[in-house]
Amino acid sequence: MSLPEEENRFLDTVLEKASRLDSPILFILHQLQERYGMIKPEHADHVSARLGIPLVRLHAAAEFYEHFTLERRGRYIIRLCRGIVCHGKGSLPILEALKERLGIEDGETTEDGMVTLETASCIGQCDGAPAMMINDVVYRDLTVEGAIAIIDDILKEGGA
Amino acid sequence: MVRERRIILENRSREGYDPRSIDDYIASGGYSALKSALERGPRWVVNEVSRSRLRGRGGAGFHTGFKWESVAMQRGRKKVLIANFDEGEEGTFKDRTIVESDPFKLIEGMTIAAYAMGIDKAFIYNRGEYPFFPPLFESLFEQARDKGLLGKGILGRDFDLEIEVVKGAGAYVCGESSAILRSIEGYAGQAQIKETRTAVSGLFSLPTCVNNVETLSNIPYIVLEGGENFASIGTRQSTGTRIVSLSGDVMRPGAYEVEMGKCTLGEIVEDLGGGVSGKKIGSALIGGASGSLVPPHKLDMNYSMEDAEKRGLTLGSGVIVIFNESRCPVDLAYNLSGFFAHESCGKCTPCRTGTHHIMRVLSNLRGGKGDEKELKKALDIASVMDRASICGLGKTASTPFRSLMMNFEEVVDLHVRGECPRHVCPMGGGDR
Repeated sequence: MSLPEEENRFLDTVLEKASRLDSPILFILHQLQERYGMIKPEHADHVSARLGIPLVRLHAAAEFYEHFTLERRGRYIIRLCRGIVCHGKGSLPILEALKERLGIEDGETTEDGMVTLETASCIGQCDGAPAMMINDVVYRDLTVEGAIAIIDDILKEGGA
Repeated sequence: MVRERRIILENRSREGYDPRSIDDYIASGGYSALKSALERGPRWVVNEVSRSRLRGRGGAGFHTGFKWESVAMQRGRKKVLIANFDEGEEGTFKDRTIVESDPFKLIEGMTIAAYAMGIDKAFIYNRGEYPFFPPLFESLFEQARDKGLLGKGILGRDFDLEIEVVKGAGAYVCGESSAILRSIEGYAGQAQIKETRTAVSGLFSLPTCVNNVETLSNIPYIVLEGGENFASIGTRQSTGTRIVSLSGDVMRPGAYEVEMGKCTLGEIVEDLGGGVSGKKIGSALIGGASGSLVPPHKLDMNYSMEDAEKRGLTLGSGVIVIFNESRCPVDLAYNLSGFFAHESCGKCTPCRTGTHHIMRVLSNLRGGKGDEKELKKALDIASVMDRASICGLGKTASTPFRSLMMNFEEVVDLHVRGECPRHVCPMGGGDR
């Protein structure tokens, strides 16, 4: 099965970069996840064929790691820390407020594909607990109101 | 009054210091350790590290010098070094602090380590939750390459080193020394039964040295000042400093570098952390998720590995989390049990099923449906996990539960009778 031109070109670039690495697989999966919001089966097929790696091995890695998914996730991924420090300092009320604001449960994506809400094991921002990440950006010392304001900003920006 | 003793974080005290600039690092004395190492030779470096009695800062506390000797001994083969930056232990952010404050310390430490063991390829395993560091590392490597401090023919010698950053993808177990190898190899990061030592057959079956970020960041000091000097800091079995990750209900949470054995846990909380915020201290988590929940009176412990061991505790990755009196230890232990149930890699049965069992029992207790028989049985299961799990995750996963049972008997009893004295636990929920 041939891929759309854009996807083919992207995979070429990624595989070219990966060929210079001793640890190419996680790199490739990260690139695909970031670009397409998921690991698509046809991309995994393509990588498997090009690198001569069994498909099952890519599949196992994609399934094992939290940051890779076989279903599409939102453009913005919220990772609210549920670690012991954030928990102790009140991450649960923030989770409840985010669920209500977004109308989704922990682990779900909004219908418009904009936002995925997740909780995460300790994200290492304990000196600024409670904390969350939205994609690669860290938000610290959260309050319920503050977290909602951040989400509202993103929804506004996304809608524009 | 306890003060910090900054060795690794020394440049944090320097005004206007730009941690992302190699010129600032060199101006502060950076890379003079590498020069000195190259003049004295690899054998000398390994000896100094052994004499320093430096022990791993990731949690296990293995002697770094011994690891290095074992890898250095493997001659005529390609070998690799891995800097373990998969800082995932709950409450730990010290490695993040090192990389934010002075990342060249780590890079210089890695370069010296590679030279000492005859290695030309190194990896930084950068946890997925720190996605902002891989691009930073690339820019630092470029600066180092421009100055002839990385790449081919380092400082004009017959010594090459390439460092590759591997970004993890959200799995705590990958900080474990066998799982990290599987992960870099591109497999699911599950723990492995070790039939051969990593120093003989590790990553891609090559002799491999895995060191924590903080461990490696100590190396420039050891090379410059000598192993003997380093060993004179701290105590006999706990040489040097530790960067403590202090958080929770304290006025000034943060990463503090202290000389080991020269202060108590309580002094760290009071003098460096500014004391408890809110009410009085109710409990503390020492060592991380795989550490212990302790009552406030245990904070008089001297901060060293031997004092911790005497009390059946561990310094772990240097975690101190303070909880004030409004937090319930049962609820905290339940949260930690959930962490392990989620992060168990699923490879071995004791850990895979044991972590879930303990979580269920604590969920019942928290929901007012706990009973003594069930708790006793869970303690038995905990001891099986401890003895029969493949890796450190399973072996230590029950520690919070066991420490709850040992240190907070009264609180547990009240919960069995359906009362949460802090009014935190839902009581009337639970799994049953």
